[in-house]
Amino acid sequence: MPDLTPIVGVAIQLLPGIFDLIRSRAKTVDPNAPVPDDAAVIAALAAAVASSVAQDDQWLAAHPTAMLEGGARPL
Amino acid sequence: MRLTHSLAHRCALVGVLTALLIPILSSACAKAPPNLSPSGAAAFQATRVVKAIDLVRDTAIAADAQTPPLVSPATTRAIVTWHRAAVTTIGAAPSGWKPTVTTGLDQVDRALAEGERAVLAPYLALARALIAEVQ
Repeated sequence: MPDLTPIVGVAIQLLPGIFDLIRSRAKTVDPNAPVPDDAAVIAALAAAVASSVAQDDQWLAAHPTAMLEGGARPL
Repeated sequence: MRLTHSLAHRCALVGVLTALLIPILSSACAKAPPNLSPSGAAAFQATRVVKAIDLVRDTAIAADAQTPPLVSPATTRAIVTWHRAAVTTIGAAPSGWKPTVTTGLDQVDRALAEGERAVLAPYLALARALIAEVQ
């Protein structure tokens, strides 16, 4: 029987993101939900981008290049 | 025996990730609300793509945090760096980011080691499916 502990660990850490996606779908199909207009959708994109970039910057700051072991193949 | 174990491990990994991705894929294929203008629809789809590639990055970071890491720190850094550039491009050009982000995604995929690809492949496929859906 393979050891699934690492995979389950990854899955658990991803659950919040998965639930967010499911919730966003639920909002789309809810007939009582307000219909988004252009301004709201564009603002949502800007917020998603800003949040996402901030998370990237936070991770990159916490993991400077000098801490890496070995090397990645260049993209 | 070791080969059998490795194969079983890989099959289990693909099974778990596929089960996780079924609700994501069903939610990811939503159409933009019909009242939106073309620019609004582009922003709507772009937001979904941002969330999908967020999952690619989050998976890499979570896999890197395992003991032992399922994705190397160097690869994780490359993915986070690509993700940041891709998201920034999407934010700057909600209607014109597709070629740049697709090319970057292909480069990330090619740079992965085999074991890393096994972890990230479902999420890369999700991102590709969403990008392909965007007009």
